Amino acid sequence: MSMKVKTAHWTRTVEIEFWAQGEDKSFMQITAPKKEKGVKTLRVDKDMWNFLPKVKRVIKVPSSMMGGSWMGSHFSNNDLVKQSRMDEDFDAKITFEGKRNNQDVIEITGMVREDAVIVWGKVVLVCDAKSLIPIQIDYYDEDMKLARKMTFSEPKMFGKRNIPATMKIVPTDAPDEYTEMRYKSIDFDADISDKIFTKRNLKR
Amino acid sequence: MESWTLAWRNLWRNRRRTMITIAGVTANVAVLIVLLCFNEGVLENGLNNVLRVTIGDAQIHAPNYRREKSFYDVISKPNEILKKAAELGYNAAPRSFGFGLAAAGKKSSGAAFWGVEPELEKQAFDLPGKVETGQYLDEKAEMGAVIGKKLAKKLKVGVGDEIVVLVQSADGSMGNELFRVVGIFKAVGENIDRSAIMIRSQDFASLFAADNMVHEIAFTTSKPQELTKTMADLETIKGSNELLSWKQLLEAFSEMMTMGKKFMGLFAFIFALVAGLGVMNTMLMATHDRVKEFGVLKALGASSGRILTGITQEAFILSAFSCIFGVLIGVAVTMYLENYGLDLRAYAGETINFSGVSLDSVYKAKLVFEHVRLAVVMMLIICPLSALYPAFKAARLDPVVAMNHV
Repeated sequence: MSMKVKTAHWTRTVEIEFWAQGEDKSFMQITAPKKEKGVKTLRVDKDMWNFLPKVKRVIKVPSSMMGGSWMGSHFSNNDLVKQSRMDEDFDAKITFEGKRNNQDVIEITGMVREDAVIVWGKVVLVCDAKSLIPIQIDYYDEDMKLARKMTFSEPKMFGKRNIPATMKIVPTDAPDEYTEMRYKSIDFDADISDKIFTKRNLKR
Repeated sequence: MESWTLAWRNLWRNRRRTMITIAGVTANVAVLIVLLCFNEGVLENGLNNVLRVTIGDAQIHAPNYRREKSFYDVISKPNEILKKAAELGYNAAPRSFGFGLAAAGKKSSGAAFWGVEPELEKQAFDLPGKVETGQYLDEKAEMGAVIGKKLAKKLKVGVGDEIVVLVQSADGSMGNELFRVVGIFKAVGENIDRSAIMIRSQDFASLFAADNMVHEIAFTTSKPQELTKTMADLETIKGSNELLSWKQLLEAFSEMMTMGKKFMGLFAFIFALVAGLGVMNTMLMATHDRVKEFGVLKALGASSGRILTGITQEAFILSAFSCIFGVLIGVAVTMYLENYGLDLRAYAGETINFSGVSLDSVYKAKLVFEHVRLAVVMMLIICPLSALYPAFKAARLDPVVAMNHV
């Protein structure tokens, strides 16, 4: 996949290879541009490590930095860790069903659970009623103000599944900025060796 | 003149009482001078400590930098400012700031990177001398880093160890480099202790892909008292940037100092008041002893004004002598404290941390003429004033009643 990040000061695109196993393990590797080629990130449960090819070192992302930006994007390290754990942190309810913009949609509002350690107050997800493909997710901060908007587009068949190929995130306080992820190809149910998700693999 | 002689003689009619009162007021004056000067010395020493570490007398930033702390709000034409500052005789140190991740072994921590010009920092500030182990950066210290004490502890690194750093560069890419620890600072203040990694500006530029991105220029001068002139001079060279004095940069500290001075003023007043009460007591006793005498004086035609003046003159002479002795003793003690100081290191350690600011544990006084003058003038006014009550009491006496007084 590729990730394009635009901020007030720069725009850049990186190519990323991404492996995931279940919800707890993921591994990614930057393949372009040249300067960052070989930068790898490993996530196992709630821990993250980065491998930096230039200095040939692995460093663990400390918990104090988990709220920081991942690779300069509008995603935080926490997003990568917690994205897949939404059902643990939120109580979800269907809050709207019907037509919006000539499209049958379902709106699901997730209120954050009191014991969840998370920066959001609530998230509102809108998806297509028939295909259940997500259209948009709004993230509200703890004061229930809209903090960022994630939109999904270009649904495409990857293998047997229909999935939006692009995902764009726009922070509310900087509407000119965005991060856009675009899937190029996805293999589902691929046979992935456990060895991928090890620190040893980071250094390879 | 005659009345002064009379007052003088009257004072010595009860030698012991007068001596005790003079001793008391003398002690008051002396203690007041020492305290005021000591307070001044401690404040000034603390201020110098604070300003000489990293802040300086004044700083220049991009107009938005202090509010937004954005990496991209950089000073325009920093080299020109540095050149002009040198021409005007100011020491100036340019700094670049960036944030990122530092790691060593299995430990990692967020860190604040300072890109500095080692030679300029050494000229302008004391921080380069406050290295506990190893040494400060120099021009040849390529990829060297001097780091804060608590950060070193957290990362478990010592001099010679390497630290991996990961930052987001100015162009959005991930900058990463390997630095070698060349020095570790003493405890100098929370910000630096906890997170500072100081590196050469060239290394900063390559790490952050940030050529000539200067966020702060800090100025020092050999004459910190002349802040107004310093500010006026710097105003002419700041260009489109924002210039702030240390008073604006350290508002809380500056207010604390002003408060401290006001408090000392109040303190001095209370001191003088106590001395005044002592004088009042003495004069009340003295007039009480002499009620019959005042009756005779009045019967012989002495006016109330004359009696009033006489007693006030006595009080004035009393306080004048006290002031002379008080100044002699006070100044002597102050001079001792100015040279040798009060050494609290045994109790407080090398430095005392006060709201993130490290102060020396050796307190030194500073002899300031204004404080001596304040103590003297206050005594010379309050003591004669406090004699007015007994003086009025004596002046209003009815001669017949007074002469029959037992």
